[in-house]
Amino acid sequence: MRLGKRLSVIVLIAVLAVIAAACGDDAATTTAAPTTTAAPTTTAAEAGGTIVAFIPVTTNTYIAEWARGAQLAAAQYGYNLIVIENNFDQAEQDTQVQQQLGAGGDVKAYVWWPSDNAAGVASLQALAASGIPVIQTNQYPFAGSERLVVGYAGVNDTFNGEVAGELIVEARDWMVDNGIELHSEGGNAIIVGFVPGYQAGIDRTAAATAKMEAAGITVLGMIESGFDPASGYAGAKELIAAHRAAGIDLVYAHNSALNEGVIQALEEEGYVVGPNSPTVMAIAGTCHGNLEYLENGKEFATGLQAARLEGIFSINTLHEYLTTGSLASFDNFIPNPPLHSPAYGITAENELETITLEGFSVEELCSY
Amino acid sequence: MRGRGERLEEAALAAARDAARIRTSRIATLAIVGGAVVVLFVVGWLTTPQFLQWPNLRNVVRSAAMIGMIALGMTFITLSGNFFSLSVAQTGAFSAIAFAFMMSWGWPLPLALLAVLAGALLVGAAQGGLVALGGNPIVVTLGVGAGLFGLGSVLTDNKTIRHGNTAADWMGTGRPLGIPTQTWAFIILCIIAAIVLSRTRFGRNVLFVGGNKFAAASSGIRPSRVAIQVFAISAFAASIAGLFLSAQFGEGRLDSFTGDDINAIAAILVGGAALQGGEGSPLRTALGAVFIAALENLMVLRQYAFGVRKLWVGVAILVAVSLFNYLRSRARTT
Repeated sequence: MRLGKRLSVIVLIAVLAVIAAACGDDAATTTAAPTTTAAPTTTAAEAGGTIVAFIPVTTNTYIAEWARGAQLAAAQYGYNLIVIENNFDQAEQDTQVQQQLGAGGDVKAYVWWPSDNAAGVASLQALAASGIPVIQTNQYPFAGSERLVVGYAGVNDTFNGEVAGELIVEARDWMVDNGIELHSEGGNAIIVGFVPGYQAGIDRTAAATAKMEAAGITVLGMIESGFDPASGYAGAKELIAAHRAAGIDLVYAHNSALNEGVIQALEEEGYVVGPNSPTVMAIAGTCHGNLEYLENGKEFATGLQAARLEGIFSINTLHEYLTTGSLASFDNFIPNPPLHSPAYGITAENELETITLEGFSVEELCSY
Repeated sequence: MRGRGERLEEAALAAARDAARIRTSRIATLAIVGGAVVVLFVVGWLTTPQFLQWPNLRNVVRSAAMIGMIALGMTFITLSGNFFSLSVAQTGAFSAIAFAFMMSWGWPLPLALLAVLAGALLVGAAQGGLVALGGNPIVVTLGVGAGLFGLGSVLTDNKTIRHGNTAADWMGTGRPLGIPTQTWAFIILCIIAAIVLSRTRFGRNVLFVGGNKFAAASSGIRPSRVAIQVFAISAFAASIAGLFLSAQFGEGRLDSFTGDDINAIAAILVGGAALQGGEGSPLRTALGAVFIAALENLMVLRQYAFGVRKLWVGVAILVAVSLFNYLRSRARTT
């Protein structure tokens, strides 16, 4: 029996080893540490040299889409992009930086997406000290660390929040114009946001709240719930229970995936969402996932600050630096055009069909 | 020198005293968990007007349902003395993804459901098999969870899998008698689990193995078989939660159920199950899930910050575990 158990374990290990070997990508080369979660792909072209990107894990759909965009742009310019992922763990990312620097190699530039913007400054300093240019993406450089990078390329969550705030005001005005009675003079809003402590969520909430309050909208409350429809659903359910008595006119979700759950929760609680005599309007910050609600008007509007675009934009900006030796501007924010639902006739054209960015349609940029 | 009859009588009396002590301890534990839920509801009623309103109560039970289903399945593992499973979140997410794939391929709903549940049973049984071979339950389930996550990542290319098939809509969004389908599933699973545990030979075997593995083995019960069965049940329950999630939103996502394995463990602990096995019940686990959901809900209604909410949930778990441990040690020594 004991021998049988041992044999089972040996066979299991052998099978796993064979599977692991079969799954390996011979073409992929990475100087990353063994702790690296994955180095997804490497472009064949080597003409432009190697760029190493330190980013959080691509099992997150947004980050995976960022990586796909970055790989597309790198391939276009002939760079060999090596992506080193960490599991949203700054300590893991710090180790990866040390191992990358220790291994050396002919690296032309680094892309820095810290897991923890403040705690990652020491690693950023080490990368900068190597003399190889570093560009930061997604998280704006921590105060005082701007000198360590040649520039920033990526989202601007304050800008995202401002656009969302303006869309919320537009939604409120549409309600007034269509004779829908609000629960307070300027209307009442609730916010369903990203996970607690996430800087992007904090910036979006602050910027959108400022816009709303300036337009007389009362923010009744907010909940930090997550990134997906299930989180949006759960968060909205709780907020609705807390603020139903005060009256809810507007809901702002940080992205459209959250909003999907929010809209389900609103409808279950008896609210009418959509262009036909709505009792509440749902607005999102960034398109993500299902466009159905935007098409049928249950989502009034969202922003097109897409993940793939950010990946492309980061490499484009880095390419500009590598080819000219400087950047026209330190701040390189990706655009965030609003996407209105065609169901309300706010814009003459159907933005879902007419807007393209970097050659990609709304469907291509938002559905991931 | 005492006669044989006298010794037998003493042994019988001692056994009866032990049984009475255990019964008292079980009743006390159930009373504490139930009492805690009642106290919380009374506090909520007195302090927060919205708390006891029907829509909010429905929310509480609905939010307890998903975690509760996972916790009910995992309760069998804990009762059998195999601690916990750290792969339930990944099993739920993987089931949601598999279901989304199958529905997008146009599989009939019953076939997709059966295939996903059968797959989960197999994955669970495999984990139980590894534990039966001597593997540490925590390490085995951690490894399998990582494997499922990795496989899901490869299969989905880290994208959300949307199936756009409306056949499963009712399952995810139906409200029979005004109550969400998930809540019905939670209640039904709780009843089934309670019956299985208290009225079947398998249930008694689980408790016996958890109470004393070696004594159970001497009595002809095979702990390895029990291990395979309980891990299969746990994976099955997690898979049901995954199916409901996928049906509700028409999609499967790799990052679904993040942290829900820990939440399920919390429900089991607040429900007073003994970590070493042999003591606990599905009803108490269900009450534990409801308690945590109600506590979180009440704090959201009172607009407590996220950190404060987590602090109080942590305190509730610590108090529950300490209190139940004290009760059990008292029952053993008195």
